[in-house]
Amino acid sequence: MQNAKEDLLRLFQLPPSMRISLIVHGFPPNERTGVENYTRSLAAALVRAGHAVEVFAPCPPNGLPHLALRREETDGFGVTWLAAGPDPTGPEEMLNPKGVASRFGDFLDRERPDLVHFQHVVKLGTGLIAEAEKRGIPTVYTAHDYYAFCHRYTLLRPDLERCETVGDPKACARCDQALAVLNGVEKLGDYQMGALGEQLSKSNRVKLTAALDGRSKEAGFTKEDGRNALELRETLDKRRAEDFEKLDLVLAPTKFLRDRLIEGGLEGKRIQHLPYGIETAELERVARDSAVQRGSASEKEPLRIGYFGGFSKHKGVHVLLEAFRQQKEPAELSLHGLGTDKPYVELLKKLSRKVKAKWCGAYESHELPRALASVDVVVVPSLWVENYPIVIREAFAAGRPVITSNLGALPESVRDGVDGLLFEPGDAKQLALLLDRCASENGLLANLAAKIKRVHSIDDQAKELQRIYQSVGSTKVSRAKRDLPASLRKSVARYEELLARPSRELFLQTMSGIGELGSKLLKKSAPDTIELLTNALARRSDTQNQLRDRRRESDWVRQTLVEEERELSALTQKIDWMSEVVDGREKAVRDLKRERSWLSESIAAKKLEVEALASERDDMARARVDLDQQREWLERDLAAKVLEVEGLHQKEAWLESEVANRLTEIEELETRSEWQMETIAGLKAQVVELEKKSGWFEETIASKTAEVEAAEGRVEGIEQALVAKTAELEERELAMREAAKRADWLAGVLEDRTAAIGELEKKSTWLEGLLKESRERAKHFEHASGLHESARDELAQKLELVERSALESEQRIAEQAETLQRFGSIEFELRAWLVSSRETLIAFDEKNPSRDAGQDPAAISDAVRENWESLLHDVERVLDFDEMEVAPDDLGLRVELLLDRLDTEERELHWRRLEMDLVQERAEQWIGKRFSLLVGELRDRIRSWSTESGKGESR
Amino acid sequence: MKPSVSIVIPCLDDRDLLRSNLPALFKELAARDLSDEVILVDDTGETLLSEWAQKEFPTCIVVSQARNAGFARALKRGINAAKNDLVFCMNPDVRVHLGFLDPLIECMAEEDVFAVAPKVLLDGKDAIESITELDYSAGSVELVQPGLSSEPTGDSSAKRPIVFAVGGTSLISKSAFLAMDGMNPLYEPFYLEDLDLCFRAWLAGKRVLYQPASVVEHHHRGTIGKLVEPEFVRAIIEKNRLLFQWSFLDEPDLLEEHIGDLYRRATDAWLGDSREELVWILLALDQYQEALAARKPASKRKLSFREVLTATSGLRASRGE
Repeated sequence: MQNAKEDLLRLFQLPPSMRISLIVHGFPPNERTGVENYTRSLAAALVRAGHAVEVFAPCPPNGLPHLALRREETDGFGVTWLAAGPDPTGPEEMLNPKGVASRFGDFLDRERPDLVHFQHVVKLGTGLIAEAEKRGIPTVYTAHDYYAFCHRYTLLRPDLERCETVGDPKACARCDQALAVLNGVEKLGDYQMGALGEQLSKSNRVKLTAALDGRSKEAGFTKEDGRNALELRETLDKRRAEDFEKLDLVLAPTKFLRDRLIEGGLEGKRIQHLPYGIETAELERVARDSAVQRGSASEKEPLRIGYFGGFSKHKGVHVLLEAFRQQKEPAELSLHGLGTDKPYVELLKKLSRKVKAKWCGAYESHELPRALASVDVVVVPSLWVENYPIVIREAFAAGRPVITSNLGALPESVRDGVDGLLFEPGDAKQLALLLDRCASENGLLANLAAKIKRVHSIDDQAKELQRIYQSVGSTKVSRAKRDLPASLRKSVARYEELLARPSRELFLQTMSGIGELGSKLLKKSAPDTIELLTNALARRSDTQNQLRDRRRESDWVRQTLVEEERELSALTQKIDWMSEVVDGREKAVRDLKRERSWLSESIAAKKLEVEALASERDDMARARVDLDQQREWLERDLAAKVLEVEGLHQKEAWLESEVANRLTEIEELETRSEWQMETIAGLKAQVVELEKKSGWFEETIASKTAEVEAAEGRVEGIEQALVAKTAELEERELAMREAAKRADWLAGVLEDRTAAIGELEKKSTWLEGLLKESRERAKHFEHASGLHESARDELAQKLELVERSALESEQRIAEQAETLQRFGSIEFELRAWLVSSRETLIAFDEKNPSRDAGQDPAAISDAVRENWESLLHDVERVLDFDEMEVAPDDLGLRVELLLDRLDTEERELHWRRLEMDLVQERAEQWIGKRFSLLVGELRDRIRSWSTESGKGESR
Repeated sequence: MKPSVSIVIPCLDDRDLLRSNLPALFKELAARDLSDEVILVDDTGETLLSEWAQKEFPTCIVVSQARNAGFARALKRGINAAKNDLVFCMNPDVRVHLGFLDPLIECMAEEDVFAVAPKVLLDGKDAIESITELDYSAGSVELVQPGLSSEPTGDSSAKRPIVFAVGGTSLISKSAFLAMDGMNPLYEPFYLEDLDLCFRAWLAGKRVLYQPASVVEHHHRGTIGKLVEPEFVRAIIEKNRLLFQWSFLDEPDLLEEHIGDLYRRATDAWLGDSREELVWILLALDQYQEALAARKPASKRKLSFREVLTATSGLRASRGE
């Protein structure tokens, strides 16, 4: 107990001159790169300078609850670790991770530093600055990079291109969106700094570029996404700027960075240029003990190149490896450091193996001098706008020249050609040439090493900082010095003084004071402190109560959580089930929608079809009505025609009887004239020939008749099909029009026929009269010789009349033949031919009662009549072609058949026309010859009759 | 013949409060028509009230402090200036009811009465501030004001002993006050100096009484709250509570218990991040020697700490505590 008291007293008797808190985003041994190592060196230096230092830094959770604080002491200063759990989930948490500022407030309340010196607040948040400001604690911030105005703190875009824009929220928002593109790329490793092009697929490269160029759509973002990103970025930048404004002083290690900070919006008068210091003692020993010797005795040794630092893309280690590969001079490359970007580290390891570079990995601070002693030159191939790489100071302190990128503040640290060499950032070829030059040029490295200036030590900087801290601290006005009544000032001042002490100190001082009080108040026989405390704690302990309360609370929370988890699990299962159901429903809905859509389309199509069918049906109905009307009309017309034909048959019968009469007369004439018989025999032979032709005609007509019958069957089918189909209807209408035309034509034919029959009747009557008159005159001629001469004249006149009549008949035959040809009607031609033939024959018979032997006019007449009847029948059947035997459901076939049939009929018609022309020509020839012959014979006979009559009279 | 009373009012810049509350006092004094006086002690250190009082309350006597010295010193200054032996100590935010003085004076006439407190209605309502007791438990003394509790407070209409009369509303004897050297500056800048004074009176065999027949209102609008944070006020109260205990805890078991409890409190404060409590203790420890110096040896005390508590815990005792 006594020793403890003494320890406490010793602590109070040696108060530190200032209590400094150093805040950093990582600290050894967890993080061991530039700023982290620098902070450790600074803490140690400040302790050496007599200050009390407390470091606040995040650390991996390692089983601790999220945001738990743990303090430990090392090298004379305290480190309070903040167990940092999950990574930030978005830009807002990146700027200010949830709960960290509050825990930092707890740290400040416990430690009550006189001043807070922020080294970096990334991972911790700018809210820490506000917490210090809230407590009136003076603040200093060392800008190690561009975090004060660049949320990525490197001025490096996600495509690892350097950003030329400072403080433009639009560019920063595009940067956020580009980073969001990388967020979506799996297995990219630590991509927060950016990604190399070869790490990305082509589509992602395109998206990344589009995002950075502000082409949101191509980058996969909506315009609203762009607006939101900008709005968020403006808000966060404003918040960050507000927090940075709360700083009392900003230290810039380089002038380059100071200018950038001013450019980025920080107030110039609050920025002070202060170069870093480093731990130089051990490194300077390296410079002394193993100075760079190249160019002298060992010039043929390979050049020893060293890289020291983080294995991050923006550090450009891959550029160095490529340069090393291109090097022509013998050289060795050793890589010292560590990296969290696993894919990039793997890439570097692969490249290292390829070029046979030595992979040395991480190193502790105390190992650095030895590592530097093993190299001739240090390369810092950074691709980002570096500020003040500590490794350059370390290399210089160890007497090693540095080759670095001609970028950012690097030329401020390395003087090209003086204490190092510069190359264009990313230019591996140029770097290779420089390294070859170092390897081959005698004395180059030694000369560079000789011109290295003494490096600023961390202890020097601690002294500088002490002055800065005091000046900043003095600007803070004590509450006690404000305008208070005199009776309060002393008490308030003391109160504030105590409040400003660390909790640890308060506790130690309190315990000590109580001990002192107890020693005055209590008797010597009183229990010692431990016993008193034990008794008191046994009676009551607020801490124990709190712990119990917390435990109970924790148990309750745990139990509640278990129940909630159980409920959650049940809910999750339910949600999963519901999700499946919903998925199923959604799928069903999608299917139904598709079906509905398909049905809608089908219904629409069917409606159209129905409408079309309805329209077709109406058209068909109308067409059917028309066809029925036409059929009825045709049937009526046909019936009329049949009646007419029957009339003609009757007339024919009558004519036949007349012919029989004539034949009787002809028989009488035959008995009177043998030469007439011979002539008739010739006629008979011709008639036989005609009969043969007629037989041939019969056969043809019979076959045509069969075709017509078949066609009639097919036409019936077509008619039925026409009811259903529009196309068929059109064919039907065409057929009907044809039928109508034929009907018209038939009507005309019938009219003509009727007229011809009328003419024939007239002529027959006239011929009968004439024949009768001739007979009477012949009788008179025989009986009245006196009247011979006058009778001869009269006969001559009558003969002329007969000749004229014959000529007229001949003309009529020609006209009728023309008509037949014009109408293309077989029937008409045959009938006309037969009628005219008959008339001629009748006229001939009437005028030539004597007939040649072997010429049987009756037989000729019968044959002709039979032919006529047959032909007429054929024509009638041809005209009636309704029954076509064609399948009604095959319109194409039907149309084709119809067309075939039309072609056939056309050919048939043409053939028949030709045939009729031939028959007519022959008939005309025959008639003309026979008529001329008969006329000539008749004249001769009449002359002879006249002569005989004259002889008789003279006798 | 009724004795005259001097009313001593220590003031900061409380002109509004005075303007509001003095008329009732003057009405009372007018009704009494004696040689009463009103003394305003200007503790602003800026002599703000003299000219003002001349205009608005010309009968008031204004005593100005050259510099602000706090309530205890200002009160002592005013009492020194009083012409009457009976002094009613009054805060500017107190408004008296007509006839409040006579019941107090009657009590003061009793034997060994050091101070009498009227019924002080907080904000003019039912809660009574002026019934005061002390509670000791597990090494720590707590001040109890049963009249402010929501629990039954027993018979608050009866005159009774209390542990102390609140310095802002109490009738005392000038001579007795000065004989005790007034209030202890140990408690500066404020609070519990009246407890200390009255407790010393109890230890010396005097009594402090509560007189419900006298009624005043306390419209709590103190000026301290405007000057400092409540955390500081709390710190001073806690400091003074410790100093009080260190001044008056007498028996060894109480002291052992108390010191043990102090260790415990400090430990709990450290473990529980209650650094404020550490500050309170440290503030008190700054003055522990002065507190010890004020302790009276047992030979000079007529009552022990426990006996005073017993004598003044009437209401709690009646509740069987």
